[in-house]
Amino acid sequence: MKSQNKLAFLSIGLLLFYLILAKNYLFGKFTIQNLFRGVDFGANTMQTLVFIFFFFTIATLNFALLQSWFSDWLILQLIRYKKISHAFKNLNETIFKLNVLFHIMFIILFFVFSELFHASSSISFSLLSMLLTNFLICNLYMLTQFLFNLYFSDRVGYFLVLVYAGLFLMVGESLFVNGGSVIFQILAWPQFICQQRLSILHVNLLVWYVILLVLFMLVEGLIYGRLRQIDWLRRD
Amino acid sequence: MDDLDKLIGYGGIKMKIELRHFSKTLKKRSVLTDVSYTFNDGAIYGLYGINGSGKTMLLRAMAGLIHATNGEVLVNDKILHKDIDFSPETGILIENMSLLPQYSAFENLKILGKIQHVANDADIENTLKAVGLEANIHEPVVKDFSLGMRQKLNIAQAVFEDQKIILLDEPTNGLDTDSVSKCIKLLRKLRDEGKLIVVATHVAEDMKKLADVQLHIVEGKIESTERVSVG
Repeated sequence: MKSQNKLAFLSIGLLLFYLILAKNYLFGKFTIQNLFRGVDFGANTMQTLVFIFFFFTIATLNFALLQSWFSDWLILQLIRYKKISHAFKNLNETIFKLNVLFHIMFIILFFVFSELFHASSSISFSLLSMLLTNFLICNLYMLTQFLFNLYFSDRVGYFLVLVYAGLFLMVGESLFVNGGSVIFQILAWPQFICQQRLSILHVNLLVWYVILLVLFMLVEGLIYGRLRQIDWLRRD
Repeated sequence: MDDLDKLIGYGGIKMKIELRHFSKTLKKRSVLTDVSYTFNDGAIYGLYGINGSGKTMLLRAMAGLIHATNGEVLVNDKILHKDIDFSPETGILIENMSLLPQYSAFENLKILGKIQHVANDADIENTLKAVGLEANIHEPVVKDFSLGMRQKLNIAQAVFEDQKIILLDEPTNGLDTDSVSKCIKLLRKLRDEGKLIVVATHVAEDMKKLADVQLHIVEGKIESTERVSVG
């Protein structure tokens, strides 16, 4: 099975996992409306982690798509770049650009959904502000790439997407919890008045992400070591 | 081009690929065993063998796309995966090569050409004409290409940047008789310009028409070599 197929299956698995967790931990009752409602800021740690899985799934699906687009064509590029690092720098830059585009579309889509839901029911749709934060993280994603200087593998790119999904909440927390930037809150958060509820977001969440970040960096290091031994044309 | 040019290679740079006791094992199965051979420029080498004999794997090893289990590959005396990542100035045609389906033949080569910036629009068009795609340079897009047209485009991408080393895996797959003749004519012309060309094929007829040196590959080893005189 090709690696991108495995990744696609993994993505579907993650999505299912998310739905099961959402059903069991988030709302009790499984409805589409409850899924959307679950992202309000009264969530506890477990509910928030479940919420992250959603973004991990999106990031994974996104990357599976990107990988399938690039993998076969990559050989032609590798030969011409002559150096693996040059090829993957270019690849990751392309992934980054597409990620930005992807998230802009993602935000627009959810904005439309939020308006529809708001018009048709009394449900308060609070996903929008988080997604706007997500957009900011696209910039952080690029920064992370240059910072770590790890543009050697599409798999590294994948892990960076995961890290970026994690960072999303870190920045979200710093922006919205305990005040943050009032101007940004007003711009990004129409229901600003409700934000005091954010303060009950989880202190230990940040610690978890630092741990995850360190873990990802370790994995990236291992991948880089292994990368030099890859047979580029080998198909499992 | 005079004899001296031929002797020192195209552009004055002599190209050489040297395999030293190269072995490759995949999933505990030996696909190449202790292969040692030196390929020099100004000739077409034909790797001939049945399916699974290891000729494709040998080609990939020369391109730097697989790693040796034992031994090494040297390109112009530089060791692949040690001194350099990939064989420089190499054009390659591999099986199931994917070009971008939503673009035309010209656009595909143009995009690839942006990496090295050595081929201009005229070079791309001339190459596409040489492989027999003169009527399909700007349309249709690649996803609407026939198998033969795709193969011609794949050959074009391997040669359009004036690569000094050209590695082709089954280049005549899917080509009609006229196109095969065109392909052979093009490769001979490139050989006469002093390039190092290696072609892997299981078609004996193509081998006879094309190769200056025939290498018979059997079970991952070079069973025999024969220098022949072709046009």
